[in-house]
Amino acid sequence: MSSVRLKKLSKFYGSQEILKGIDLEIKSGEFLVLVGPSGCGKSTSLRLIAGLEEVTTGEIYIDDLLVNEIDPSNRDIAMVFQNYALYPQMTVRENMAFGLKIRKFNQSEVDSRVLEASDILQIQNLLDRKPKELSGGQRQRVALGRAIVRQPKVFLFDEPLSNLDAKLRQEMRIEIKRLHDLLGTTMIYVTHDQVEAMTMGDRIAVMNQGFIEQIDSPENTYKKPSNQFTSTFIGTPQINLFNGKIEKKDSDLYFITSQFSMKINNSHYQYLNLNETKIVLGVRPEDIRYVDEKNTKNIIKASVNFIEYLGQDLNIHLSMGKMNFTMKLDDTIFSKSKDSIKVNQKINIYINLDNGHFFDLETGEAV
Amino acid sequence: MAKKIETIIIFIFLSLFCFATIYPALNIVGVSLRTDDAFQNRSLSLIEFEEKYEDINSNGKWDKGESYEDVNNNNKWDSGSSMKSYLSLFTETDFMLWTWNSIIISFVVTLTGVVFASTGGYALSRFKFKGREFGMIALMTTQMFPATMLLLPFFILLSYLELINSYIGLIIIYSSTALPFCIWQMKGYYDTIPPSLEESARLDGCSRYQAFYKIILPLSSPALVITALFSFMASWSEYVVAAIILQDPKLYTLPLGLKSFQASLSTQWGLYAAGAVVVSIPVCILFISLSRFLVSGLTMGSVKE
Repeated sequence: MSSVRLKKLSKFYGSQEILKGIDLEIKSGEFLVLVGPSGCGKSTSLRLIAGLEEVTTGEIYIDDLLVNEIDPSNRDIAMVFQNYALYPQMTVRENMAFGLKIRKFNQSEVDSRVLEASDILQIQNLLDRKPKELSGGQRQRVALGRAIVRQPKVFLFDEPLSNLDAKLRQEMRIEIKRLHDLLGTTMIYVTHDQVEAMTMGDRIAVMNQGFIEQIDSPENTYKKPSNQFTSTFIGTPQINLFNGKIEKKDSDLYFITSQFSMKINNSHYQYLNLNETKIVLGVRPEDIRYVDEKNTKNIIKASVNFIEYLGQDLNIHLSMGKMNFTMKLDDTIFSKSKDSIKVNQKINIYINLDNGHFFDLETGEAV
Repeated sequence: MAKKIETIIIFIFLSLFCFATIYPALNIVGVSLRTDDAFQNRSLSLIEFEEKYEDINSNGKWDKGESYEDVNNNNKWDSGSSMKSYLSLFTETDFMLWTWNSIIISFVVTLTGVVFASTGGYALSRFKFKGREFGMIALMTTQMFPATMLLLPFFILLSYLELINSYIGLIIIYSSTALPFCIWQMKGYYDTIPPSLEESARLDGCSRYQAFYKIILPLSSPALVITALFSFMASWSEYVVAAIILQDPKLYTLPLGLKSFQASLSTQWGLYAAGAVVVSIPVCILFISLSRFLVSGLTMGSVKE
């Protein structure tokens, strides 16, 4: 178990700056997920930690040891690649033993470690096969096995599940998380899939355009996004954003858009920071509710554009003037109100402002 | 029906081409089994078996109307097939010496080709460095000039270096003409191997060099075989350059040696043909034994694209 620390890490490819001076500390034994859209620099960060790319400026420490100049072979890191990168000419057993043999472990140690790892991953029956004789999921298990036999200081995962189908992906998610609990090794996991990020990480680092937007627990990145980018990146369907302004009437604060006006409870976690200014409100689709009675406050009318049926839930796409947004609806509620929730019909909705987030219009930062 | 006719036509064409390719080769085998003076024999049989002849007319001639004589007095027709040409090829000529010369030269050229093409191609495939693009185009450009056009400059260069009439001179020319193609060929193959394999090996504890020879090189065997074959062929059967560079008959390579059977007044066709057959045997063996490496697809299953 080792800690990893990135200090003002930046990377240029030619004149293009991929990483813009990121600071990140990964605690010993932690499962940290780097998540972000394509090209945000998450894979580059991982490759810099592995030593597969040279650092332009900044420092990387593994257990307080500066590793910038240390060859990848000596960093004692294992990496699982997106394309598995199994050695095609070797059997599963040879693939797993390769790293140990290069490091001159004796044969009995190699054998016992390979057997132990194959036991953990349940691939004992595959040991004498070549990679081409394995299915995608089996290959990914072997790639994991190759990493764990080494008992490295740090595991790196570069989008390891993106080539698997949905069912296998879920299985392997659980498998990797189980491995982490079992081995307790520091793991850094790169993905663009926010479900993977949310379900696997102890902490999530949300990256965008070479910066880290937020490092926090999965719960906080969802419930208290520190900026508009994080709020939109985490969560499906995407958070609804409403441009508007804050106005003070009597002693109360109101959020006002061209279409509706709503009172903000003074129990809102950002209440004290709000003042009369232009602002963006973010509301998760599940915080918009369908109401059939008219006695509640903050009720507005919106017309239904499109209904996505997902089984347990439904995504109802709504519009109000030029504003489009999405509401998540439980199927039981939908079943009761099938007659009233129809495409092109107007329905009453309630926006739960208490769970909404306010962002600065200019900077996108949470106020 | 149309499909069937199409297949038949295709087979007719293929058979014609097969015949066109095989006929000269069989002819050479046939000639090599005859004695020198039987070169002009119009008999269609490739190998003429010894036949007992009868002199029915008691005129000392074989009575099917041809004028062969029983030279050995053994009641046999003596212009039939024999291994005489092969025997004299190995015993009466410098054929063994030429073979040795050819083997040395081809071996060194092949080795040079494989070593430099595998490493040079790797560098061009994996590293970005100044002059890479230019280097690649320059290599390609050298392939655009026919070897005969380069003969004079080569000759001048080698004479400055005092390498005329030496193995080394010939090896330099063969290597330098074969290498560009081989390097491109290897580069193209490496490009198809995902870099993550080496990266994985490096994280497994390999140095850059180890990752290359333990992981990438074994995977590249199909391309290496083609490179080796190309280099070997380029030197084994080359005549024009060798004729200019080598003047001492003791240094002759096989093609030069064969040509020396052809004198201005007479040609020893039997020897020539026997030599040609022997020369082509190693090439055939190489092609047949290496053919399984020529089938690619070794990287299948290692990574998912």
